[in-house]
Amino acid sequence: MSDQTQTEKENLVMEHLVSLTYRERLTPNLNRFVDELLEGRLVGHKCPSCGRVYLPSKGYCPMCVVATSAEDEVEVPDTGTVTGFTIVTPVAYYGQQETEPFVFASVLLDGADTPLNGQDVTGLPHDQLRTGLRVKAKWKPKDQRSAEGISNRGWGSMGTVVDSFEATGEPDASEELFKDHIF
Amino acid sequence: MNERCAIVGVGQTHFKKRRDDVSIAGLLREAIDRALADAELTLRDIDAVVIGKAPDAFEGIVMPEIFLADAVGATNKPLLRVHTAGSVGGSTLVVGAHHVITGIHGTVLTVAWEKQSEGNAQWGLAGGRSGGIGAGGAFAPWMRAYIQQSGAPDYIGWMVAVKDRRNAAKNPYAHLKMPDITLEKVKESPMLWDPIRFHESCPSSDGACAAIVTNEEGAKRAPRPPAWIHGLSVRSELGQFPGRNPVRPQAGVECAHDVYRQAGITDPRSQIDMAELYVPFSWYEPMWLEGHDIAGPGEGWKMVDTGETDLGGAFPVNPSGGVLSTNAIGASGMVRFAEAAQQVRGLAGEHQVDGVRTALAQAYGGAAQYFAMGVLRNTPPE
Repeated sequence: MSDQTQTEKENLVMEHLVSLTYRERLTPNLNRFVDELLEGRLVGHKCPSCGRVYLPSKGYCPMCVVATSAEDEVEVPDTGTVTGFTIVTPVAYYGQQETEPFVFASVLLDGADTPLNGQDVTGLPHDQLRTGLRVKAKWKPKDQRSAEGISNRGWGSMGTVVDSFEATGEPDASEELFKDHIF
Repeated sequence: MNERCAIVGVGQTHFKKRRDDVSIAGLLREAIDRALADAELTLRDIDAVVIGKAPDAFEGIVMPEIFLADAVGATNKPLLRVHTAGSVGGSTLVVGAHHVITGIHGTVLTVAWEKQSEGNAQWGLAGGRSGGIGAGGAFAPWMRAYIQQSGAPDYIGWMVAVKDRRNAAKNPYAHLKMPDITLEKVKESPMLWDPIRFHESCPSSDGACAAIVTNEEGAKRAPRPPAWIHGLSVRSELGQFPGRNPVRPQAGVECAHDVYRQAGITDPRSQIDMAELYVPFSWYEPMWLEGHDIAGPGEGWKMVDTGETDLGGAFPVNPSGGVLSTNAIGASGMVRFAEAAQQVRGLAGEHQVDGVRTALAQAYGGAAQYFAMGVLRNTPPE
């Protein structure tokens, strides 16, 4: 067929670059999470039925299928455990700013039941990164924090508020403690 | 009403990094024309069209099924769009077949495609923002978890890559053909998303796949052997919830059990002759062998290690070269069904497995949360 008989002739191509900048309102639940995050507090919802803690909360517990609200708010500490990770080599797609391999880790905060995905982990070389590693949030100074990068379709983004999770040097957590909350 | 249903025509385009020689419409029509020629039908014989592709952001065209309606022969006919991320090609065929099985239509054209060179999938998945990790980055932690849980040696991933690229060299439609690939070459290729190396990853392809599904009368009229559908199932689950096991997603377990039950399969490893599984990254071959209960826990990698999944093995997986060799994302799921169909029809050519009577087709997508599976045979259901 046609692809088998491709001619030498160059196809005519017209370059036409379009840029679109847009603003998006965060959902009320995410908005509330970000307000607290900017103040240095990590706030989620505790399901009134099963007690699982979701952070950030989407306003419901998917296990019990019940709505959660401001009445169910709980604060969790900024310490946690690495439950899964990879090292990503950037492919340099349009708009990507990373140029060097970077960490993409899931961090389960103490007292939460779902991890924050896509976190940077610092304080140790990449080849020593492991599940079970204990970490603590490294906060940006208050005047440098913003919600930039946090989206309704986010992947656990902490905006420019938490730079990374830094290894604490504590003994690793036992897998038994986090095995049902890895992803 | 439960009509018997069969695939009587399949068509694939040649898959390449860029298909600059055709428009999107031309690409789809190339696959459709081949499927019609295979079934010796024309567009006049088609009652309805089901079209599938992965996220619209990959080409930057919103709801492309609308401008494609004429090109796919849907003028004044029912047209349905399916979107279930990477599994969409499989789901599209299932949706088309359900219209036949329920007696709503006699003959349905299903077509699935992606023209990735017109956009950038990594950009699309990242929503245009920095920090994107691609599908490989999302799946890598789960492959790490599989390796840790199963104790599989590193070289299992390299073996899958070598097998699939060598198989692809026998498939005229495949994108990456690497007959000379070796374990050394895979091992020495750059690490992309630890533990996945460059040669253990799928390419970005342009291409389309079409399949014509029809009822028993249509199958009787078919000029070539039909591939009879004995089981079809789709299942999905949330991408994240406490207790989720993304290494062995429950939706994948239940989808497999559902098609096995429909097809009367109690021991998939001995009762299925070959499988086309959606393996975009090498480690997904052993993960799906276990995740669909073809192999027991920790046994999937041993099937790879002993050569059981080779083209000449006892349970060949991806004789076509699979997604690892050809990945126009939206098309990939339907290619699994089309290749399984060709195997039971005895029309797979150089990568034909001897004596296939029962074949398994599987596609998955999203955060390993959408599944579409089918069991095909060379004989009609009883």
